[in-house]
Amino acid sequence: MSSSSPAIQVTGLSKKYRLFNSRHERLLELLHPFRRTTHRAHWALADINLTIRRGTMMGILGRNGSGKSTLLQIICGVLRPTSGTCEVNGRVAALLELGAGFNPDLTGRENVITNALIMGLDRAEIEHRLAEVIEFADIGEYFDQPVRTYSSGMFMRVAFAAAIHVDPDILVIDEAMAVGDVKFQEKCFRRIRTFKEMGKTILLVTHDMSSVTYFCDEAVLLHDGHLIEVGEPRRIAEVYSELLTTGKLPAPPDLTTPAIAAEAPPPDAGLTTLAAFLADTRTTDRCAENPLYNPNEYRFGQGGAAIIDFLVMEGTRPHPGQLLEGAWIDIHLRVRFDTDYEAPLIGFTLSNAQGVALFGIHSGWLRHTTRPARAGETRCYRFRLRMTLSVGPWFIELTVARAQDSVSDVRSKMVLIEILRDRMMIGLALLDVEFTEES
Amino acid sequence: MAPGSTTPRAAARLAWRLALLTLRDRYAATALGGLWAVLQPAGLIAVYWFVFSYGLKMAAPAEGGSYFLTLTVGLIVWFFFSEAVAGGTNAVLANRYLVKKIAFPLEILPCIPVLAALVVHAAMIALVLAVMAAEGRMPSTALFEVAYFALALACLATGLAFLLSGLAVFQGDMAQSIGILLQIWFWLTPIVWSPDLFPEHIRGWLALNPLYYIVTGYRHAFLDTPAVPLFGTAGAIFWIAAALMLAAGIAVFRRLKPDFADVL
Repeated sequence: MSSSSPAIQVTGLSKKYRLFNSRHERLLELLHPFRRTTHRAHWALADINLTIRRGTMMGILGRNGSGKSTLLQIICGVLRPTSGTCEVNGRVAALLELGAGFNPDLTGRENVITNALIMGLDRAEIEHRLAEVIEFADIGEYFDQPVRTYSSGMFMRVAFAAAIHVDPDILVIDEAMAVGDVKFQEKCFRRIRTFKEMGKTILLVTHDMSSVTYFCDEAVLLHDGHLIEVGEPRRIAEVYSELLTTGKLPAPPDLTTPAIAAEAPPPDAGLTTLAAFLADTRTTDRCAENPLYNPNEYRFGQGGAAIIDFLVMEGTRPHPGQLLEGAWIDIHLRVRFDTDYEAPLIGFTLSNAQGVALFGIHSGWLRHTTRPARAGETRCYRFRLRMTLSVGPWFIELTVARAQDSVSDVRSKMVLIEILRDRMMIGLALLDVEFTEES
Repeated sequence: MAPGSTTPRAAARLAWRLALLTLRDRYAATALGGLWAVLQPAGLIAVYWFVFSYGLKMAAPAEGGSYFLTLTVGLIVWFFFSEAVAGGTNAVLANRYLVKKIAFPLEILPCIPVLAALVVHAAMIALVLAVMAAEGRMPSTALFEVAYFALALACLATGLAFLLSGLAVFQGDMAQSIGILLQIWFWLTPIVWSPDLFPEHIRGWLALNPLYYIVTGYRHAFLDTPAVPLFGTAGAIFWIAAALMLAAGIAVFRRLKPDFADVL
């Protein structure tokens, strides 16, 4: 293998699963002297072409059943493609699934040694690395207990330590990083980073888009066995999140008129959206039409006024479904008043997926006395804030109230925004921090 | 390096280690540990000996050692064979953790139970030699033929293991039916009975059973009973059977192999 050849070269790869009514039927087809076929075909992968260069960290995104796991299994050599080729240059270590390749009745030590032998290491190399594995896994006496007694966290520690210490050229990680405590995850990430610096190749399959955008150099989106797009991780994550929320793929770029298709939307498109929002005079509820609207919102209140529309902008970008930690956003909301209000209170609350309210405030607490509103009027308001939050989905609740203890309309969890990772940290919020070396 | 491909040396090392782990695993929960590998067959030998020599008044054959030794030599051959074949049938099913998610040279799997059985068999051979010493019998130079016959039997068992381990993945009934087939085969083989019981013209037919060659070969090697010609009719029948079994076994295994991960 020359150093210029890619780590993985997938060409015209397809994988057909043959479906049978019974194992017996499968056996008959496999052994039939004239190769008579009785199966129904399911194409898990169709004509995949993909080049993964050495030293790249490639993220693989796709819904369940999109063909991700099949692709990984082919790369790892567990499955063979039906047609096409998958050329792998170098030793592959895989964390395909918790417990893959581990015999639950053997101890951690025995499993690690066996795995290393399967990977083709010799006895001396294994002895040499075993100490490092023990230190990295750091599970103490459990290392010499049967694996079936392990917690999933311990399991992950040993599996990860074993995979990374067999000195692979290509490391494949499938959904595995979510297990284990934060401290160990940090250790894994650090190890992955040094691994990457050594010019090794990593494939990361996950549902956690933020780790793809944070770690990966490139990403690929699979859907129904087809390769939809390869490219910059943030772009792929956006296409994927659109696929998740709408269930549809965004229209593919029009290849017949590439010049126009490649053109970015005019920079003031967002401002046009904002202008249209502010100029809108309709009095019906339009919240559900917004791309960031969460249909599982919880709405309550005594009435008298209603939140009928909202708009989130990141600078001039409307509807930012995903934001980097620390991005500034504007939340615009329109309120229809059905009765007279002296000084309506307009508020919002941020809460995470577990329902923890991180922060909430309203116009009154911001020492702002709003102008009186009369029945039949609609008014627009704006909050501007920095989303200094940790990764994951965040919900925004919007509120209008007559007074502190008299809420008119509360739309809880109405707006859903996902925060992407920009740096490692722990906790829920990103606080302003400066660091100085003083001597 | 293509994933899952290993050098023959690395494959052999891996198979050996997995065989030892299989044995270790089997006796891990016991207090006596590896001693069971000897105690269990010893118990069976005692039962057979008691039933056949006291109950059924089976006499020692015309030549060779006591009935007890004749029986023991036959039984250790059988223990090796049946353990290898029964284990071989389960070889893929029992190791699904190596089939489903990692690149593993699957051809190793059927060899593991055969190797494990061979290790136990070595202990059995030592046991027989101990019994011989207790009876005051010294082995002749023919003893070296044991190595040949053990290897020959391992070949036959490996062929069967390849064939059955592949089929068992798709046919759940395989493991059950193999148990019955092995029982029948046991009684067709001159283990508890001696071929001398039959007149000459019937004895010729007994050689159609490939194990006939092995069992009489073992008896010759240990007890200096009349030799079966190493490369006579019985030998030819055995080697044809073993070669066919290996060829068919490996061919079927290779055909079925790509679907293991889909089914398990």
